[in-house]
Amino acid sequence: MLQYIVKRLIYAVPVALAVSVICFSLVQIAPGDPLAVVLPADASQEIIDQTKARYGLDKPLVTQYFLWLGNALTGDFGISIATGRSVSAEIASAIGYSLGLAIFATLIALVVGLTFGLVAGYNIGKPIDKIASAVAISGVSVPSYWLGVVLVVIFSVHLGWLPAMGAGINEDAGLSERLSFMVLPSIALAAMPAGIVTRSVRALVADVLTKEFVNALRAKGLSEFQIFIHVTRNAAPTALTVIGVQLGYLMAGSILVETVFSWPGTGLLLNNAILTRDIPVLQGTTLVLALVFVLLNLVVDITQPLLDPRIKRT
Amino acid sequence: MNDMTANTATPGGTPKLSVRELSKRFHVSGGGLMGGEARYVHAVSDVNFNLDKGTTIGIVGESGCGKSTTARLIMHLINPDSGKISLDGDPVGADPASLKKFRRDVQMVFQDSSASLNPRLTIEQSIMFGATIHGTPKAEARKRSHYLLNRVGLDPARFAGRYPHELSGGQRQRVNIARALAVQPKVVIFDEAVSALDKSVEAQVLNLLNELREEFELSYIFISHDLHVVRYISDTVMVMYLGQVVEYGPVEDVYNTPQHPYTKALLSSMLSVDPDDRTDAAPIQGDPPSPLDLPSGCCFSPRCSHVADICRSLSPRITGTRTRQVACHLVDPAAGHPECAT
Amino acid sequence: MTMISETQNKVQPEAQVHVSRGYWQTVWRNLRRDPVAAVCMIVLALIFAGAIFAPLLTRYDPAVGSIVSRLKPVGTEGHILGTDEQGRDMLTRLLYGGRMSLLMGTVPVLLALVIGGSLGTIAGYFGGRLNTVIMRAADVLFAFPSVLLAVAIAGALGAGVGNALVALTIVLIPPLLRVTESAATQVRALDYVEAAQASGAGSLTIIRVHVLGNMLGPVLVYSTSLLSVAIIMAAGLSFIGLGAKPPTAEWGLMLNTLRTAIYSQPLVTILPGLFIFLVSLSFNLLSDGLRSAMDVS
Repeated sequence: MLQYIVKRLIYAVPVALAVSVICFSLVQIAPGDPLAVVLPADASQEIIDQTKARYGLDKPLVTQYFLWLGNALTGDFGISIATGRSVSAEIASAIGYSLGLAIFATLIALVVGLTFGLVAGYNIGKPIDKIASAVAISGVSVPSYWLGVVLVVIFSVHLGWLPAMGAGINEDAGLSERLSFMVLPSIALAAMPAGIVTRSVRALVADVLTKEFVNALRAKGLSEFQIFIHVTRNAAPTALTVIGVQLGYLMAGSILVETVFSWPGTGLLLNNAILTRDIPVLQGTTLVLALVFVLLNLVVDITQPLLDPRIKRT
Repeated sequence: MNDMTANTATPGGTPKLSVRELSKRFHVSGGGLMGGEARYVHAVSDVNFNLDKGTTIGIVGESGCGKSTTARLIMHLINPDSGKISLDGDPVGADPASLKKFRRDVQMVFQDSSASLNPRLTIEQSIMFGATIHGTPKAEARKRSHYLLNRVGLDPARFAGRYPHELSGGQRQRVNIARALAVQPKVVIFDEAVSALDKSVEAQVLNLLNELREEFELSYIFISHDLHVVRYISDTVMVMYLGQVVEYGPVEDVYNTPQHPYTKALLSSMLSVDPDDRTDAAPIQGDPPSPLDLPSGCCFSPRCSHVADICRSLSPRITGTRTRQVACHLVDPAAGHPECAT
Repeated sequence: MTMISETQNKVQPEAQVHVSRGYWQTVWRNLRRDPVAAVCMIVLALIFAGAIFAPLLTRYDPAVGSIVSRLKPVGTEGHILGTDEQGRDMLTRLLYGGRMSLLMGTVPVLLALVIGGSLGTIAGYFGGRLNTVIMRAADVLFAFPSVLLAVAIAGALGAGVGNALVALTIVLIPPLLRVTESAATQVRALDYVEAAQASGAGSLTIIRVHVLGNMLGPVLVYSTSLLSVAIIMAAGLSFIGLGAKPPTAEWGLMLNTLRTAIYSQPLVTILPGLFIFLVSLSFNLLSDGLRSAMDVS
C-alpha cells in the first residue's frame, strides 16, 4: 500500500512538469509580440533589446522555461497586463470564490446524485427509475451556462427570490445574504456532476443487488433497511471517487457559469484575461487550476483503496 | 497413400518439422527502474522433437506445463529466446518471408472455438481470409471454402453465410479446422482443440481429423490434457512437466511401459475400464510447484514417490534413443554425472 | 455424422447460399425499434436538416435586422420565434446558428477520432514501449480538465472559429485515444487475431479486417456521447467570446448577446440554449440507445 502511494506520488511529478510545459507554451502559441503591450509602438531597437533582456526574452526557449518555472514555483507568475497587479495576487483573491462555489456545488451533486442513484438503482425498470434516469441524463446534457440563464429567468426575473448576479461582497452582507448569491450558480454548476453521480450509483446499486451476498443477507433474515445500509456502504466509495474527480472539474470548469453570474472567481478572471488578451493571467490561472486538478486526482487515487478495500493497487 | 505406419521415419530422411532446443522464459518482475532482482518464469526449456510426414505427435501434461506456449513458440506468435525450427530442412524465422511461408505451411486450431472466429465475419469470410492473404483470388478462395465446409461436414448452402454465434461449439470447431486447411498447410497444431466439446462431438471431430490427415497428407501436433484422446490420435507422445520434456516415445510404448515417475503417475490417474491396463504407480501428491520458484535438481522431485538424493541436487538430462527418451536419474543413471550414479 | 464423398463436392450455386443478418444490420434494427433512440434520431435529423437547408426555410437574412422590430416576443406575426436585440428574426438565426454550432461540435470529434483513433489503435495493437509512450503523452493532456484546456488554448490563440476547432480537437484527442486503445488491446488478445497472425497476415491487414470492425462498437457509443460534450463546449467557447464572432449566427454567441434582454424577453433569451440542450441530450440518449442495441450475442 505504502509502495503504491509513493509510486503514485512519484508519478505525479512528471505529470505536473508536463502540465507546466503546456502552460508555458501558451505564450508561445499566442499570436503577436508579447512586448507589444509593454512598449510604445515607436520604441527604438535599443529599448526593445533592453526590455527583452529584462524579461529574459533574449535567452533560448529552454532557459526561458526554467526561469519562468523557477518564478512560478516561488509564486511569481508575472504582472497582469490589464490591471498592473501581480498575477498571483489576482489569483489569490479569486480562487477562494471558485473553491467555495465548487464545494457547494459538489455537496449538492453528492446529495442529489446519491439520492437519485439509490432510488433508481433500487427500482430498476420501474417508472420511478425511468424518471430519475431521465433527470440524470438531462443533467449530464444540459449546458451549465444555459441552465444558469434559465435559473435566473425563473428565480430572479419571474419569482424575484434570489439575486441574479454578483457575490454580495459588500461589507454589511450577512451570511444568509451571501449564501443566497451562491445558490443559483451552484445549482447550474452541480447539474452535470449530479447526473454523473446518479448514473454511476444507479449502475452500482443495480449490480450489488444482483450479487449473491444480498440474497444471503435476505436469507439470514436481515430487514430491507439493513440491506439498504449495506448497499449504500458498497456504493459510497464509488460516489466519493466520482465526486472527487468532479470537484476538480468544477474548480476549472466554472468559467462559463462564473461568466453568467459575474461570480468573481478564477473563471471570471480567465474570461476577463481572454477579453483583454492578458496572457500572463491566462497562463498563471491555467497553471494553478491544472495543478489543483492534478492534486485532487492524486488525492482520489490514494484515498480510493483506503475507502474501498476491494480495490487492490500495486 | 496407404503407406502410413506408426513410425514412418526413414533413416537419413529429413523430418518434416524439426524443433531443436526451443526455450522461452518470461520476465515477471524486478530488474527494471524500480530495481530488485529480475524474476523469470521458465515457460519452456530445451524442447526437441521431430515430426514426420503424415504422423501425429501428442503433447500431454497438466495445465501450465508449457504445452500451449510450445505451440505458440513454434508458430512464432511468441518469439522464442532460443531454438531452431525447420520445415523440410528450411530454417524458419530468419527473415519475414520465410516466416510468412512457414505460417502458410503450419496452421493452428485453438481451444475456444468461439473466440477464434471473428464475430463480424461470416463463416465463409473467415475461411477465405487466410487464402486471400497468400494471394489466392477471391473466387477461388470462396470455392475452396465451400469445398472444405463440405469436407468437414457442414453444408455450405446452409452455413457459408452464417455468423459464428449461430453455430454450435462442434460446428464452430469444424469451421476452424476448415479455416486452418484453407491455406493448404503441411502441419496443423491443435491446442486443446477438442477439449471444450461434448464427448460425442469430440469423437466425431477426432474421426474427421484422422480422415483429413490421410486425405491431405498432414502432420499434426496434438496438444491435450486428455490422455485418452492423445492415445487415440497420436503416433508419438511427448510428456511435459513445468516446461520440460520428461518423456518421449511411440505412444503405445509410453502408455504401456511408462518410465518416468511423472508419466506413471499421470497414466495412473487415467480412468481405465481394463484392469490389466492400470499401472501400479502412486498417484501424484500435491500441486505442481510454482513455476516462479522451481525446486533445485529435478523439478518433479518434490512430488516424486521414488525421489533419491541426487534428484534434489541435480537436474536430469533427457537421454535415450532417437525414438525413446526419458529424463530421470532412476531410469538412466547417465542422466546425471556418472560418478553420482547409485 | 454425415460424410460427404468427393463426388458430391460440387458447390451449390451462390444464389442458394443462406446469408444471415449481419451484426450491424441487427444493431440498426434494434436501434430503430427503441422508441427513445428513434425519437432522438428524428430530432437530430430535423435540426441538422434545418441547418443545412436554412436558406430554403426562411426568407430573412440572419445578419440583417431592423431597429423598429427589436426584441419581439415569441409568436409575433412574421417572426414566429420573435426577434433578437438587433431586430433579426430568431427562427432564421437559430436555423443558421445551427450550421455553425453543429459544425463546431461535430468536426472536432471527427478530427479527434481520426487522430486519437489511429494513435489508440496503434498503441493498443502493438502494445509494449510504443503503447507506453503514446499513453503517457495522453496522460499529460488528461491532467487538464477539458474545459480549462480548451479555454486556455483558444484563449491564447485568440477568438475565431478555426482556433476554437483546433482547441476542441486537441481536448477531444486524449479521451478517444484511451477508448480506442483499450478497445484495441481487448480485441488484440482474442484468439481470432492470433489465428490471423498464424495465417501469415500482416499487421495492417489484421487491423483492417479483424481489429477495426470489432472495436467500432464501443468507440461509436463513446463518440456519440462525446458529440454531446463537444456541442456544449463549442457553444461555450463562443459564449465567452472565443470561437464564432458577431454578427455570425451561433447558438452560444446568441445566448451571450441576448442576455441583456433577460428581463424584457426571457423566453427569446433562452431559445438558443434550448437548441444546444436538445442536440446534446439527443446525442447522449442515442449513445445509451446504441449501447443497448449492441447488446446482442
